[in-house]
Amino acid sequence: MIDEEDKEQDGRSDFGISNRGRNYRRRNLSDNRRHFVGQDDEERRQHADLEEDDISCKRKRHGSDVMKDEILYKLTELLTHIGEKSNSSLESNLEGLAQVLETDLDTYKEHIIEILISCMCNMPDKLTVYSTLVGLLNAKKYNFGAELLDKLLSRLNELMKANDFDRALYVIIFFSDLVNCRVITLNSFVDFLVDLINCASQTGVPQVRRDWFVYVFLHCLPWVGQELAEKNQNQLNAMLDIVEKYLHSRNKEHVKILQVWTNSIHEQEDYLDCLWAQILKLRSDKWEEKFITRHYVAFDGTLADALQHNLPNFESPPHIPNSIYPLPSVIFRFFDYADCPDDGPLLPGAHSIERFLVEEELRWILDQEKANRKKCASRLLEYDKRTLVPINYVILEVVFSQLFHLPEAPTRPIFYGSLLIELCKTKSMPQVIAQAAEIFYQRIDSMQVACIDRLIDWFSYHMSNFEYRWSWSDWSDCIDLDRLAPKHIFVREVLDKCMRLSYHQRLAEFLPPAFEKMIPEKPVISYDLNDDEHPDRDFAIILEKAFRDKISADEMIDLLRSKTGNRMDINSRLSIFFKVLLYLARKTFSHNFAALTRYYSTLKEFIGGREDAQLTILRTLYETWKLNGQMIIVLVTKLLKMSLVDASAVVAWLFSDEMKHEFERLWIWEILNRALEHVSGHVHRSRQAVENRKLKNERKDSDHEKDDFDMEADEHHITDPNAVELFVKESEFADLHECLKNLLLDVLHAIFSSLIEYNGLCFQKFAITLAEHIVNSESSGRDFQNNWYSYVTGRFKNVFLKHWKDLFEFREALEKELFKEFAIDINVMENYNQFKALMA
Amino acid sequence: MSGVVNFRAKDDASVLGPYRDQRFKGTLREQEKLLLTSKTLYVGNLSYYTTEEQTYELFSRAGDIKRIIMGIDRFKKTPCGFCFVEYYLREDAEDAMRCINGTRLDDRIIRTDWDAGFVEGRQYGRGKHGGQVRDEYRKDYDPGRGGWNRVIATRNAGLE
Repeated sequence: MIDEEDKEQDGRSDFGISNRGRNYRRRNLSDNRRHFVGQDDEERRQHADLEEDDISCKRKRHGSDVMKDEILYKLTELLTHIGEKSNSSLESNLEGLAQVLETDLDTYKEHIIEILISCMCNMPDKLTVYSTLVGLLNAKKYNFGAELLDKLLSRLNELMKANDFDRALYVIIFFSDLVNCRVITLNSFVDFLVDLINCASQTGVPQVRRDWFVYVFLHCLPWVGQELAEKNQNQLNAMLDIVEKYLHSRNKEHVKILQVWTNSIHEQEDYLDCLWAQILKLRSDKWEEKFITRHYVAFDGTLADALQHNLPNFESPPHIPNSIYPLPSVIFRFFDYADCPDDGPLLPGAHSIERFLVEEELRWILDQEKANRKKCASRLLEYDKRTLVPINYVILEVVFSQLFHLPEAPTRPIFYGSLLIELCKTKSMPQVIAQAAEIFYQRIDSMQVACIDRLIDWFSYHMSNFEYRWSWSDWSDCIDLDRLAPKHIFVREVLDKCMRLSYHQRLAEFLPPAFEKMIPEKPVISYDLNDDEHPDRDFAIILEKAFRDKISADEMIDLLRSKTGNRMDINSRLSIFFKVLLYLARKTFSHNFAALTRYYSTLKEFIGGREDAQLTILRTLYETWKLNGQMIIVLVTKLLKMSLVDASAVVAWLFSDEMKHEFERLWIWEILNRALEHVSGHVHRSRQAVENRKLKNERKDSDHEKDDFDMEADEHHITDPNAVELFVKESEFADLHECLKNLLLDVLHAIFSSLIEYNGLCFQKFAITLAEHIVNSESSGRDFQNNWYSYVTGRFKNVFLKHWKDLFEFREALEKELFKEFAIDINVMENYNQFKALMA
Repeated sequence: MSGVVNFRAKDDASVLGPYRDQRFKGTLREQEKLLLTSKTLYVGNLSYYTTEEQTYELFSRAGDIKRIIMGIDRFKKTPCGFCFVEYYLREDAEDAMRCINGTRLDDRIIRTDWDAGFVEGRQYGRGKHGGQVRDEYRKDYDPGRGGWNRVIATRNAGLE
């Protein structure tokens, strides 16, 4: 007992854990006394007495359960924090922890294994710390290693079945480092890798499934490639040959829809092609990499004597219709060594394995800390390999790779915005971010429209946190460009967002005079019913008085109806009513919401479900607030949520002829996206309700079966309401699902029509140009076509990217109802094929 | 299993601030229970000139806003530097706590805190002069919040 306690104390003190227990203090006092007096019988007797007292106290104070919980808590703390900043070296901490754990291995083996697996699955950036620890523990207790491996394989299987392929990857990488730590035999791990390759070679399954197995296999090679090359060269080469053949035959149509830039000085490369190139370079460098921290090297003596385990056989879960594999991706490339300061470390090349590994680790840190931007920023900046790379540039590249990741960013874009603001609180980072913003502007001509939208949101948000200070003059070349030129769009929309975050006058204050043309018009209301000459002025006056007198919704209905027999039709009356309402509520959003709520039943009465009435409302809204995009967005959203208009009417309105001249504005597409998300959200909630009801019914059925005393008639009576409720929810879901499908088809059809029509016009224009032989026309025509076509094509792709999950469900309807009609146009079909390849 | 690591404990967005509404009708425990599931945020340190539209633009980046209620001076009925933002979804409010709390609006660092839910009457400043209590005691000159606090302003006016 004394010895065990001594070990625990020694081990734990290495981690700076202070023990204020009486026992510890008393031992110190005893030591002091012994030092002065020297040992004698009396001293020894006193010590024995103290020990007896301690035992009594423990018996009185702690039940065994409480003590157990305390120990588990300490174990958890020790295991989760190993590898963090410490006064001692990591090696001595690992050794100390291994000694502490050895004591508890028999008693708490299952808990320790569970904690280790949790840590490894959730903190992959400390993977080599945990693998080394496992190696040390295995060297002390052979049985521990065996049980851990069984548990890991079981966990791997569970993760794959749950479609959690990120964590499954961490488990497999962990296996490869356990080979280095002498826990797993190399031969059995080679067999495991062969199984991965076999899964990758399996036909009749989606490419994204095979992709994942290839990715995992390649991902292991930086860790064990050298060992494999030394001892299993032939098998390694055979596996690499299989991978190479697969990569050559692989469909890569998805690349174009996922690239941030269509034409960039840095290749935007498919992720497997890029990793393959990196592995080839690693191979030609004889599998020597200078990046992975190999803690186990410090324990060569200990680990060399350890008994290794054969990795048990692993069979991956088969492909089933519910399997959801990671989408393919394209590697974001933004900087090269020429962008970085001459005096710092060199940026590893795009095809070096170091580039892959550092970006992967930073991505893991981002993933762990996405709930805390301050901690995330400090962990990125304090990254333990920050002296090996130009850290500011690598951090920025990784952050932007996530912000611009297609089809969607891993987490909400505003997180990256606030993270970058946090990173700006250091000395050198602001300059690099400014450099990045300049580079984005210079390369924006070939940037995907979906990414330009995110860039606009990020940059305007960033400006609003730094008093809008920017060298705007550097961007004055955009002022005279065509309205659809990407640079012009970008600056125009950034200024519009800056205005929304501040106010119109503020723009004039921070912009140089040359930018006067770029400043949006003042966002004022356009109300023509104040004009005494207006034919509807009299009716407007009556309505204004009614509103000011706060008449009820019902009275308003009567008032509007009293015009029956007059020359105005119902939609005209509705339009004037709505226009006056908007005018009187113009002060704030809240006034508008209050007005809509108060006269909800009036609007409902006159709109009903009529699409033409809904279009009237939307047209009136636009006429009144056409200079204030934000107001239109907010009010359309509100009308949707109040069910005064529905999404299909919004779509019809947005793509109507009268809105064509606004096609280029960002707020149009913001509204479209909100309308689609509104319906999509309904569908998902409805699906969830169906599933919840099914679960509830199943629970009741199983409860019911256990009740032996119920009469059959009672059973029937009880189950009926449940069945009816389920049927109602399923019908609801089916209706909503159909509605969403039709809506998406309408949107795609409308954009399609624009493209088809444009192509026709293009042909005519081309012919005219040729006939006229005017060089200037030809030149300007080409530019115009290019900008317009790029923009609309980008918007088309953006619909697929933003709603890829829903659209994938509807792909059969897409092919049957939509593309047959337009099959003739190869350019348009190309976009769809790119989309389809995402999950092929 | 008590040994399992709870990695979600690191999320600060759910951590309640120290503020408790002294006029809340109910027990402290009831208030805290509401705070833990609330979709409403209190937003402080706004400029008096910050509009609902600006607040909307910033906070809608974290999700769909149901409504914003601007805090107003009890007597003058003009904005007095705070508001309530209500989201449709709790997770959107959490994202606002993570990403917007402590950033700038109208060049001022704003502060967000969980709120038990807007109740009619809470939009009014509770300070003696109609604004927020904190402005009664503020010692610095703040051009975005009316300049000096009322006592100092009165004294300065007397000196003229």
